[in-house]
Amino acid sequence: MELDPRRVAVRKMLGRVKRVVSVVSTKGGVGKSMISVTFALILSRRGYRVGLLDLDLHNPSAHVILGECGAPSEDRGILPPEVHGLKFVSIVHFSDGRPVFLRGGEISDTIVELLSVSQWGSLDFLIVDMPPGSGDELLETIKLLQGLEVLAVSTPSKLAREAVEKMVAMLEEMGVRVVGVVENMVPPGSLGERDERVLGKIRFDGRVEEAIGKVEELLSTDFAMDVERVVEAYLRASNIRRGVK
Amino acid sequence: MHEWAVAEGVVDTLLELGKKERAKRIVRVKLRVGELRQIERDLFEFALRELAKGTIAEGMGVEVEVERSVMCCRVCGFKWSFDEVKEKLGEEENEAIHFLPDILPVYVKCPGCGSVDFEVSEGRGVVIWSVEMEK
Repeated sequence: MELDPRRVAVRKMLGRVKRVVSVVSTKGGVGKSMISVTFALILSRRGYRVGLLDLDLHNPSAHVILGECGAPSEDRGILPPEVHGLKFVSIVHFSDGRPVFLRGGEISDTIVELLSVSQWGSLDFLIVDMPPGSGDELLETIKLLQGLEVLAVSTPSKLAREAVEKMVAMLEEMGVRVVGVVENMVPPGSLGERDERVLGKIRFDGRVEEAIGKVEELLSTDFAMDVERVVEAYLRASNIRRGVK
Repeated sequence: MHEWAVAEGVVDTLLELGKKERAKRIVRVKLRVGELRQIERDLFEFALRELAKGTIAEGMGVEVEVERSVMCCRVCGFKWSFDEVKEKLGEEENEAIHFLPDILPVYVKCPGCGSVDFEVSEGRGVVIWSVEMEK
């Protein structure tokens, strides 16, 4: 007999989290982290209790976008710090900002460890910023997190669109609820083109780079305005009424 | 200090198993805990007994074996254990490893060749390897 008590611990730690939304893509550089953080901030500003988990173990960047990472405290595990209203957990809380080298099995193991000690408490949403691809991080979270929902990020590039469509088909085959595809970095002229699979389009906004690390500035960009529409579309598609928690 | 979180996982797993097996009582549990977790054994065993109170696991015997760590370099094949490098680490680094044992290569390099590409082949996890139940 060999039983791993961490898997039961993960279920308990996430027992009071109503929805887990993973932001994924097959490609890097499509804006997953920017969308994850902004999506989480907007939900939080609407009064929801929101957690943000950065599972990009090799290249965490959510703390850079937030401008700070806070420090977890300890009480029967770790208590995530509140950063701009979000309960936030990232590998940077443990790596001190140094490079992280992990192979496949160690990635899965680190995710199980992180989730088995993080005391999220009661949350309406836990937003998970995933690394690019459909590797260990994605498969492990699908295995661990019952009822996981996925928001897939693409760009107007054919390369990104085709790869993301394949990923979405694979996820749906696995029984994962894909809430939709978000098309990011869209040139202003193509915003009007309708596509049923696309939950929302986000304009390319040159101001976003300047707003990294400055949350209020970020939330005042056209980018954030478009993410807000995506949030509304997500809430509608998921039948979540405003103010109902 | 995540002894309580680990203990909670152990007790919940035992209770799930007891329910599945329709056990009247959990009599004894044997655990293997990796050295990298740097668990305070007394506190861990105390937490297990406290959390078991009022359940079918109350009063169970607890045996905790600390598994010595073995790291093996994937580049040069050198093998070593955590206690050979622990002294060189600061308090915060040890604390990070205590919570996330897999993060070890962030703070430790292979003493043989300096690589960070090494495997923790033993001494990392927490395993329940024997449960005695009364049915």
